[in-house]
Amino acid sequence: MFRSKWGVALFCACLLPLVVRTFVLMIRFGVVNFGASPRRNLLTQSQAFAQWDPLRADFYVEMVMATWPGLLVLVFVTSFVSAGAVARDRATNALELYWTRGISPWGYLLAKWVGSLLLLSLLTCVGPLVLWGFACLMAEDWSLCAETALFVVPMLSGLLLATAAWTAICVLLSALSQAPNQAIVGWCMLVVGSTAVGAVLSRVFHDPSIRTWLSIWDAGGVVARYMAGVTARGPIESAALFFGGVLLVLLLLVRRRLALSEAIG
Amino acid sequence: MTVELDRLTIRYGDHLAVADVSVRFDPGAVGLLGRNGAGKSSILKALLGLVKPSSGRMRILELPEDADAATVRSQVGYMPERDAHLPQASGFEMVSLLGMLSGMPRRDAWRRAHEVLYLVGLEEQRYRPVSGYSAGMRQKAKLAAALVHDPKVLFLDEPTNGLDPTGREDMLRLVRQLCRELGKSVVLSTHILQDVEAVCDGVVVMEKGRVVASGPLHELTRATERRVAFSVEPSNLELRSVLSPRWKLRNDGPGRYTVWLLDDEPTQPLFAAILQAGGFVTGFVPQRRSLEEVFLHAVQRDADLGGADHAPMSGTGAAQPLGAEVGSPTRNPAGGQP
Repeated sequence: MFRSKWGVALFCACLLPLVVRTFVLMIRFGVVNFGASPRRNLLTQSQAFAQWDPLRADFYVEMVMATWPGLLVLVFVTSFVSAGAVARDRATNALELYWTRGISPWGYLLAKWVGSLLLLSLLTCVGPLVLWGFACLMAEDWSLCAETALFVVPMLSGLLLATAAWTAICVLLSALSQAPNQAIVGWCMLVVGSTAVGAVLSRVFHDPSIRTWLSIWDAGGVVARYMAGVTARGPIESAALFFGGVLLVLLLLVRRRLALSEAIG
Repeated sequence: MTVELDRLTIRYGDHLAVADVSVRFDPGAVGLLGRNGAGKSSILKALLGLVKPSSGRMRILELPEDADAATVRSQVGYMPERDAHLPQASGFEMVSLLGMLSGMPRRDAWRRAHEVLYLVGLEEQRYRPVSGYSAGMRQKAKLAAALVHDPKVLFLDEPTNGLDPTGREDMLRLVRQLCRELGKSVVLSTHILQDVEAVCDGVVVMEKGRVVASGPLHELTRATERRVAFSVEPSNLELRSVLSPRWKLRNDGPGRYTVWLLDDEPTQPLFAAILQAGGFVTGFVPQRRSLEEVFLHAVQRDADLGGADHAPMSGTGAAQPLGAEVGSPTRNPAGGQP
């Protein structure tokens, strides 16, 4: 991602939610002061501003899990990094070079997944951690740090778990694809399409939990919010079952696809 | 001994790719010759541990038969047939990464990558992305990747694939250099007969998954019938009427002929007959068979036998079972030891 200027630009764009929330913190703690202007009153007295409370876990979780812009960040970054990871190697026959060395197909796949996870985690886990660090440093004393420290570890664990599930699905999908473009289009359609279908059906049946059975994005949100102690849109069991089922099916398909003799032609 | 196969059989489902092959490759360069689908690549993949043989045994160098694939791969360099490179990587990055994946420490892999890229002639282009290389440069980059961990044996699968005549000559020169100056043993899998003739000491001819001929190249190409090319003066001399009708004669141009003599028949009657006709011989060259003739003969014989017989071909030392050593160490300056 960092080898091309477009990749760097995309990563910087994905940091915007962090920048915005950091700016909100600066206003809240008086680091940035507009004075007694009507514009400041309008901002600080708004309902949205009141919800952005650094004492609450959802301030950090929603930076990643809000459908806008979290879904966009997920789609862009994973499309750029993970979706083509294996398919690109297959298209250039790099798999044949790897597997005649000391690396096994599963070791290779694991390495691709860990690499993707680490990169996406910079945005989904390190981002909220940095935001929390800013909040602690900007606060007048250490009371904010003491009050919020309890939910930080489970919150980060939830975010990491959701990120791990997303990147695993994306890398496995890439391993199934013949070409990088096929993998990227398939992944985008799966994430955005399943989110849209989940949203429509949950409205039709007036049951928000339907989303966690259908949408990769929403299932991740449920996992992260549950772990952070924030009200989730559906039961954690359904999200866990959904991820487990999807990963199991993909693993079985990839096992067949990565059989050595088949993969190297 | 470089590679030894003993009754090796490889199946892909119902398809029999390699059938009961027993052959031994000696140090030096050995050509694995055959048409597409003859089973050459399957044998290489089995040797690399990528394909599990249905039955039979394989040995590489002096490694034990049950050596794991990683140990085998550390001794073997493989250059795949298909175009292969790491996306977005430069030549140096690709070769050094593959060196590290072969177990080399980072600094050693870097140093070695520079060395092998220099050896194959890519020193000027080593920091350019491989995706921007020409076909010849990509082949060289693959060869460098196969060499980076300093293997004793090289498996080269169609190394001149897609190259223009200059690129092909470059690649063959490199392979010759690897064998003769650096003492590597090379198994050259190809369907291009000229490549084998240009580089190899020995040859194994495969057809439909079986070995139909094998042996040192100079033995295989030794003529099984006496054939002599000669030239005479004057060039307009009419020879057909003065030579014995038992000799098959072919006119190859003005004053140039090829004659087929009977077994053990002396050549003096030929000279005498030409002198009697008022001419004299200005050139006289006993002919060898070309590899193409060897190949076609072996394939034809296999077809005539219904493709099931493994009997040796007469005079070619062909299809010898285990113990048939292919290749000659005499052209290896390292005394046959890589």
